Amino acid sequence: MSQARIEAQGEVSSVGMMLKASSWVAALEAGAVTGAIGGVLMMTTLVAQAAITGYGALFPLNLIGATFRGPEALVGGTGVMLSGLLLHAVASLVFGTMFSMAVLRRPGLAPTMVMGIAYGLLILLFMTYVVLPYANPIMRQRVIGAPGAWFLSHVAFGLGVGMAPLIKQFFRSRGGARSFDLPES
Amino acid sequence: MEARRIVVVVGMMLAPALVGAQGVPGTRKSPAGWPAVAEVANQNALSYSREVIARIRQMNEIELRAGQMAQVRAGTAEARRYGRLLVADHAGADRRLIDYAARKLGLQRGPREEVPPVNRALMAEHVAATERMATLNGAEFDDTFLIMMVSDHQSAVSLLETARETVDDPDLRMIFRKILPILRQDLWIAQTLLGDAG
Repeated sequence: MSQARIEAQGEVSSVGMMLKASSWVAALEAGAVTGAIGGVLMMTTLVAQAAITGYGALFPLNLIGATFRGPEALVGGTGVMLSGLLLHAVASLVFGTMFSMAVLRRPGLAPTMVMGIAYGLLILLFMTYVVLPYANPIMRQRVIGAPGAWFLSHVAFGLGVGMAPLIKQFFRSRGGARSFDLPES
Repeated sequence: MEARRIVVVVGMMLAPALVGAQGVPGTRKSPAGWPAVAEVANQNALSYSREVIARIRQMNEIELRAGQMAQVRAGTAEARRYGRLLVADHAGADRRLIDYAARKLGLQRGPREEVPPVNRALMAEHVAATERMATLNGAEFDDTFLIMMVSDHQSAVSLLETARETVDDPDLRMIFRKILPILRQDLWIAQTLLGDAG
């Protein structure tokens, strides 16, 4: 094998690795963004339901905050609400990133949306039957009493994370340009 | 072999009768062939369900009024938020019961305020307590309100625990099963707030 051919192969493989790395980075970035979008959509659904039923718009944050404080969190103030918001944000980012990594090689928007909704419903089951009974039974008792809003909020989260291909494409185009700039610098 | 065949044939002959003995809706065991007894049992079950629902709705009404008052008169933000929580929880419970009563018992949907009191003495006692509370403000109101909520929710939890075991209709039992944990949470919060205030 000639020296020129070996060098050419080396360049191709390093470009390939950079592209692969950039697609992972794009998936991570997209996961964080779509997780945040899904989290906002989910919270919007819960806030609307809480406002309509008379609990007050910020009640879902109290409910999540009950993870740390127990039933008295339901009448808690800003501290409890902030802890609830933080926990919701972290969970949304983690679940969004996991989904984005899982659909790394499936760029179609429509199928990813459908998979996103299925993923949202899977999270619903996981939270209702595995996490909440131990971590936040107060919230579980209440979401089981109002299953409609709980279901819709997870569908909304699924739609948010289902936008991963769009967001990933955006980050990949930015990341791709960066990776081609690197060898010259 | 012959004996087994006889058992199968007898079983097939008895099957329709056994299917018919599944019972009348609203009763647990209504023997087939005794329609009059089953009908009486059914009527008793329905009237018991109506009475239980009326009692719970009355209790809802009392706690709703107290919650509404707390949102205006309570001294601490926690007590005011507890008032709002009570109003939302009991309004939700009332909606479930009204839906059930309209669907299964043929009762007409009406505004909450038109609930006829089942226990007039209890209602009169609570009206008097509410009138007393209406003259209080701040910490004094909080104490009276929270003591009343602890006592009322203890009675409500006890009533629902009994009703959950004695009512025949599984749909109604399911409603009680959903309301009960919410009432226990409300009771816990009242006890905690009372402890903090004390």
